[in-house]
Amino acid sequence: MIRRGKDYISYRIMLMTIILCVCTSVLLIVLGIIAIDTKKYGFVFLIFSIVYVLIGYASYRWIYIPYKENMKVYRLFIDGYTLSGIFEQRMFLSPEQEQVINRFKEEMNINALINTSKKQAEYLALQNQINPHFLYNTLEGIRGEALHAGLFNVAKMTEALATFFRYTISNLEHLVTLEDELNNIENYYIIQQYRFEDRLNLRILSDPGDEKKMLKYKLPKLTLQPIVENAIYHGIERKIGKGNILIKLESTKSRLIITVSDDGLGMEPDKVNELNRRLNSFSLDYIQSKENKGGIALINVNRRIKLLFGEEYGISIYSTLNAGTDVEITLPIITK
Amino acid sequence: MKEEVLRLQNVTQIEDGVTFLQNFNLYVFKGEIMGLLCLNDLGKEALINLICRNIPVYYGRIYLNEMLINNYEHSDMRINKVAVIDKNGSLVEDLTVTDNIFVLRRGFKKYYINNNTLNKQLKLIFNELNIKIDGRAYISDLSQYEKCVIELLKAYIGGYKLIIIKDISNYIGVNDLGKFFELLRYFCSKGISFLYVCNHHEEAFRICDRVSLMENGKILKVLERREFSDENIRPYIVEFYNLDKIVEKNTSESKGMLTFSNVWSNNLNGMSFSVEKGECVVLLDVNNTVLNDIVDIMNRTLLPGSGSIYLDGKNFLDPKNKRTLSDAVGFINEQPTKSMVFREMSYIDNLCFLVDQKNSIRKYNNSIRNSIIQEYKPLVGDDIYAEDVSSLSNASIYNLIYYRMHLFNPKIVFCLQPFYRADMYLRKHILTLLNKLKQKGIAVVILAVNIEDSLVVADRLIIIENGKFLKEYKRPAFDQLTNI
Repeated sequence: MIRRGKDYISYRIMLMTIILCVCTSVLLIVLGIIAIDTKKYGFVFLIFSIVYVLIGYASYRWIYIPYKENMKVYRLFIDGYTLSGIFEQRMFLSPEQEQVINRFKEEMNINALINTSKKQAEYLALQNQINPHFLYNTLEGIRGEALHAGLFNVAKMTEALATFFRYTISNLEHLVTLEDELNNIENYYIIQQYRFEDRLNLRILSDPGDEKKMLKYKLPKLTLQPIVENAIYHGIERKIGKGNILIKLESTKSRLIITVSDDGLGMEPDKVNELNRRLNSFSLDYIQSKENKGGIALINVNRRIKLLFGEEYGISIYSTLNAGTDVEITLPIITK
Repeated sequence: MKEEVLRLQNVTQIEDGVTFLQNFNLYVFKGEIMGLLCLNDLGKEALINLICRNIPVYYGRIYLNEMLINNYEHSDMRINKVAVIDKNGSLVEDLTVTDNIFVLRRGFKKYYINNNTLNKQLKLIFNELNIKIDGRAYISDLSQYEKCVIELLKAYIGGYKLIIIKDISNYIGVNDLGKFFELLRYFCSKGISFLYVCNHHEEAFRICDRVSLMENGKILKVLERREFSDENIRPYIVEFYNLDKIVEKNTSESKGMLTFSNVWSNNLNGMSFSVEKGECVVLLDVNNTVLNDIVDIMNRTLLPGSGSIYLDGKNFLDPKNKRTLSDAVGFINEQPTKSMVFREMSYIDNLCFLVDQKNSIRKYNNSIRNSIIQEYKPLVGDDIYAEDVSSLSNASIYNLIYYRMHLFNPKIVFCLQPFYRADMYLRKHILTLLNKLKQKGIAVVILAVNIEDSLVVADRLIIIENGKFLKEYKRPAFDQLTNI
């Protein structure tokens, strides 16, 4: 949709200035000739008025509007709304400015940002593990002992925990299928159930006709788990009574929409606004932030999605105090 | 896989420093009715304008049929192929139904128009949809419901895939609304999508597949059909039932403050009902035909063909009683903020507007005015000193109109569609004001085409169908009202 023109605003300014100069010169010459001959200016003024109006309109459409659009993108960049918008301007001021911005893009190295986000995800996933492989092996050992002693619940819990860790510590480079992510969530749910018992209820809903197809769609690893974890720790843990988490899957021709809803405590409007502002902001300050893991995890997931797939994808949050929170994740359809 | 017809993504719309839409997300799928339940009005018009036309947005992206049509970087100002059905309508009143549907549409290029052929085509469509409207009828002769049907058909025939239905229950009756819903379902099956904008969750739950709750230009929650319940929506809406104590009138006294007996007029067909002193009665006209007749008769601009009307024990239709009963009846119009406020007058002059003409007050002077200020200042606050009423909030202007009536103290007040186009907060405020009138012993008649929230203050509900009394429900029986 976004078309980059071959010309630049500065060229257009020059062109319009030349046209304006030529027209003014011609006007003065014609007026001079007429003044000598007939002293009738009306018709000439009419013609040139039309010409000047056309020049004015063309300047507005060709120069002012593109310039205004650029300024708007810069303002949004300053406010932290957009990053890629800077590189996708419809028209640049001059070839030099285009080169500067391209150079800036290379220097910024989006891959580095992606890696930073990935590292942050790994860090969040592993921060409680001194030695994940040691822990994983130990868990297998505990499971064996539990089975031997007939403690099947302990064995099941240990298996879930081990599977969860294995999934978490394996390579974060690749995208995984939605099926893998949901299996991981189910594992995570099994672990949490030992703590919350029947206070916690997880449901996954999708259109029966599309379910098989949707499970094959790919998404960045550990997209869902931090969001479910947030729903439990910030929404349901402190709630009196039962808490429900619903994962709803929908797909269109181009998008996969996953909504994680909880009926927990919800958030104050100011907090929701602040969170949504941070989700739309492109600063990396959140990594240095001393805030709790949940908030960072959500922003980190959002950042990874936006960096990998573009600004039109990502996370939106709706929340009402004492009603619950919905986290809507929008992803592109990726099958390979 | 669902087909997406409309998507607004992270849209922020700021105009003159006012944020109308904030990080707004909405998507509508093919063949679905998406509800937009507006808890207040902020952002509603801006959203509709934005869907209909690619006007600049501060941030965000808008897609129509999965095509990016508008974004924060560039807005081409084009008009999108989206139809809007609202009270103002887009039909030409002086043309026929056929002309409006077939001739007045984009891409119609015929030089010779064969009305017979067009009428035949229209008849086929009408037969399929079981619609009984004459294609040769003029739009001005149609009812509001019929106009809505024609707008819907016009949009369908014009190839519109997305239709916005705005606040329709405000102007078509309950029965017609049911029929209209059937039509919407039919068109959904043809792949048309609807954005159903309304202020009442009960209404949205009846027809929508999903409902987005919007407040202050933000989405609070998206509810799926399986989640449609009062319990699920309660945390998001204003609780109406914690108003000041609702004055309940014992309706067993049947002296009759106002009595209509077998009244006939253009649209009234032997209408009979009575209203007691201090009672609140809702007259629900399911066909939306008789409300204006009742107002005109009580305003003495229409004389009924036959029947009798007694007000406060006196024959209302007897010209001799015209002067004595002139202070007995008050009216509050639909959308009174537009028609019942004198913008060039101060608040207090507006408030005293009716009382200074009252027969019982022989001399309206400054001491009376000061007494009124003393009496009403605790109720309306410092607004009472306002010189320019245009600068007041909507709620303050409603205060002015209802307290004017409170001060005038008629025997009975007729409120025509009091909740018309009012958002949830304003509706609660109007209920409080209606309750104040009741507390003063003024009988209140709410003339409505939709129950909306009026039952919160009502003592009785009278249902009128085809211009005559159909049924009556007293307050204890309101719980049984499920199908209206």
